[in-house]
Amino acid sequence: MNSPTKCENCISNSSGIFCELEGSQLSQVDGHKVLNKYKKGQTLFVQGNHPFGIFCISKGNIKVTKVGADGKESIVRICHGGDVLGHRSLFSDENYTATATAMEDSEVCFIDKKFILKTIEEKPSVALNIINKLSKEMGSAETRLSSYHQKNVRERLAELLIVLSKSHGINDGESRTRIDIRLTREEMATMIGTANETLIRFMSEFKSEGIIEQDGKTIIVTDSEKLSQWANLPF
Amino acid sequence: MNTDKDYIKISKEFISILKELSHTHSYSSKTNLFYAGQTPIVAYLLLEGFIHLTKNKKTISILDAGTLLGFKELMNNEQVDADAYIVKDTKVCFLDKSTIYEIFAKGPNAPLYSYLKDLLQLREKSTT
Repeated sequence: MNSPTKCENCISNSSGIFCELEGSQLSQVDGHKVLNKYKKGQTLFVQGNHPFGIFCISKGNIKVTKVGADGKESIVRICHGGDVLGHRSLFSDENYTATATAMEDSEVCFIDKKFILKTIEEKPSVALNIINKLSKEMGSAETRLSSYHQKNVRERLAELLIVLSKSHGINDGESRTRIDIRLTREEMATMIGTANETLIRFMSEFKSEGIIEQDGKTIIVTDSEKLSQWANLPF
Repeated sequence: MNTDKDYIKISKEFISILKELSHTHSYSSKTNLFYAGQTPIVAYLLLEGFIHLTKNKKTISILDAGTLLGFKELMNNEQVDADAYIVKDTKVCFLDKSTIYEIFAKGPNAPLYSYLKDLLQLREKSTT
């Protein structure tokens, strides 16, 4: 029998839902999990199908997308190491309402429903960690919803860049933040509910104002203060 | 999942027992169950419809009702060497690791215990 990488050696263990478990408790998770590598573009689950467990991301970025009646795909959120996927559908006992796809080569563990429910009953810290993640996701969803109603496209783009620089930002020297995720312009446009052309126009404006720079497909935030002003964030 | 022997056919008697242990689900669209190089996250028992196994985008096998797919790989943490996708409206029931461990924990008198153990041992013998 092959042994997958142990949870205690997972690079995202400290931010995962099992971070408070130790020793034999983590070994139980190891015994029940299935660790898989997903190549860019491979799907973890598909909208409309039945959930039978949760996915814990160890490494890589996974996009969660919804396909509308017109066949257009929009990104609901982007998950990375330490995040969980499929938990909402699992606990609400509904089919998946979105599709999860690897944006790059990723490592993801699957844990079946029976085991996760048993663990939640026995270890309240796991339940609290899931609630914590659900709460943050709900907060982000509420912020995005209100942004669609209250903000214009320029403000929404600035807000998206702030969110991405917080979740995927790498310090790139003095007050410069490199956003370590490759999104197509189309993907970014769907994230702020606008057309491709409009997004490209505003990106050019951000560049000419010295707020961002581009290194190939990578975006670098060069003036985070101005970006916050343009995002019109409530303080 | 390297030989035809690995596509396990389940008898009607065992299918009805397995159906009691798991819910039946129908796939609303063509979906990849797993990709080559991965370990299946559950074992799939086909009740109606088809699962296609492909290598380099070529179909190498079409599995039909009564086939148990991915059981040995799941329990041995082994990687499969083909992609599998399920055809729309195919009905399956799932066997996850916890359910299989529960069957084994009940001991030799539990339904399916000997059957599933034999499947695993057959695999171990064939690989040693």
